[in-house]
Amino acid sequence: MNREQKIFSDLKRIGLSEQEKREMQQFALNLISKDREPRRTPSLGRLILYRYAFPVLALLVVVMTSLSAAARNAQPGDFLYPYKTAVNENVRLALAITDGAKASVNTQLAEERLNEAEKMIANNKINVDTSVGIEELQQVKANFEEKTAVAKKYIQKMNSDGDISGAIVASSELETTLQAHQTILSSVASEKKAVPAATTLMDSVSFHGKQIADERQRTENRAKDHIPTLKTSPIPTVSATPNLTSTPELTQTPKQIQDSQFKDDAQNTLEKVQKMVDEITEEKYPLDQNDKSNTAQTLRANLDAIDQLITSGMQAYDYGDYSEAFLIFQQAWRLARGAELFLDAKQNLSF
Amino acid sequence: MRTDNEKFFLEIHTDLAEPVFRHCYIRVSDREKAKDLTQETFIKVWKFIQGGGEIKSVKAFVYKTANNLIIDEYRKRKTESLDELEEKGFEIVGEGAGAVTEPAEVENALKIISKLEPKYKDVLLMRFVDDLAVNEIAQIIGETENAISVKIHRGIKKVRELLKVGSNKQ
Repeated sequence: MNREQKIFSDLKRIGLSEQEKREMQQFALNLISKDREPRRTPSLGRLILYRYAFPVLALLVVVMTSLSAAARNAQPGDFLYPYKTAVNENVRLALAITDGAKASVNTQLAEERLNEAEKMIANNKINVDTSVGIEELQQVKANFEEKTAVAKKYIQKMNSDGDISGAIVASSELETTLQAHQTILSSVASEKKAVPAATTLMDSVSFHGKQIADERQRTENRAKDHIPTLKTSPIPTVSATPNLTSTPELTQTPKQIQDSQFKDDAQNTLEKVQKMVDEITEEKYPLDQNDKSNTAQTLRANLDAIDQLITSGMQAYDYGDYSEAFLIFQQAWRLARGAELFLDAKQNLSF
Repeated sequence: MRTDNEKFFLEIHTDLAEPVFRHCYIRVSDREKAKDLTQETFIKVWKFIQGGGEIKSVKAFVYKTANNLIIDEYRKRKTESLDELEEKGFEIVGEGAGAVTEPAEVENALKIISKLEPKYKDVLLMRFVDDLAVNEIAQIIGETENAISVKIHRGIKKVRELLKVGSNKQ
């Protein structure tokens, strides 16, 4: 037994004496026997409360749950759409605790607005000649801009709080969403009567997309300023069970601790990219060698680029430059996510 | 004739009363207070079972209940604000009024472990003293399994460093 194991083994010697054990056992027996005593007959008021409170509460829960489920797919102009934006989405926002989670949920909601606008355009629900759907589209645009602004606010907060990798992850998510939907919107809107109305939304998406890309670039420069502790050994595997017999290491410096954070982030990002690529190639768009369509060719080019980025990222990782590896894997993630969003939209909107 | 609930509760109590007491004692350093906290923990567990609550992971549930009571106990201590508690964690403050003398090895182990940062100390104690699995600790603390594994790994390194510093001084 080594010394650290002995420390914990010594602590395990803390326990109850025989007398204390008997007292504890008696306490447990008393506890359950106390609940066996006959209960007082409830008053009339309590009886009424017991009789009606539960059914009323249960009914409320059922109604709220059904409304939430029904409102989930509501579109602008639908009866349940206000419930979706005012209740369902506010619940999601309230459940996000960290700045990263808040930025992510606001990004998802901004994306939901873009999905709605694309659906309206694709289904000919907007016609500038007859003004049909124009008001709904303006409301969608206003809500999209509000959610985007809040997501940006939390990204900036993470940046100023020194959470560089968190800010990069969140800005990558928002940037990729906006850039992908800019392409999707222009593909859907072409040759539709919605073009003039959709242009202002596309301009807004483009404007915010460029802004967040600049923000992400500035944050990445901060990450690049971090000088890593380099090494040449291969990638270590992360074990859930610590090895208590391994050689003791020297105290970590703050720089090494930051290295370690980038290392974890690099590993997590790489895992996400690989999972996303697997989903694309195995489920969403299994590539056929004979498929010469534009989509297939673009996807092949993207997958090659992702492959090259993963190789470069692995080299940086092996070299111990974890911040560089993280940034390269993030670039690969943006490519994969962009492709995924485009393929989803192509399938759902048939353009 | 005991009901299923009673049998289930007594089984949990038999298995976990002493480990929960140890868990509380290491954190509050007062034997009588630790026994009170253990009993309060099992009162809550019993009420939960009686109320028809479903427990997915018994160990994680019982330890989480105990942990919440320990935090409440610290909140009651007027001399230490909650902010300081979150910053300093569960410091071992020496023998309490009802404490009995522990063997020298145990005292020494308590002293070493008290020097660890709370974020490492808590997970190491849960993993190696309470014998909780990584997923159970993750449920109790509310963090991911990966984050817990990293903390355990780093905590072990810290213990080694503390032992190394101790050896050098001697």
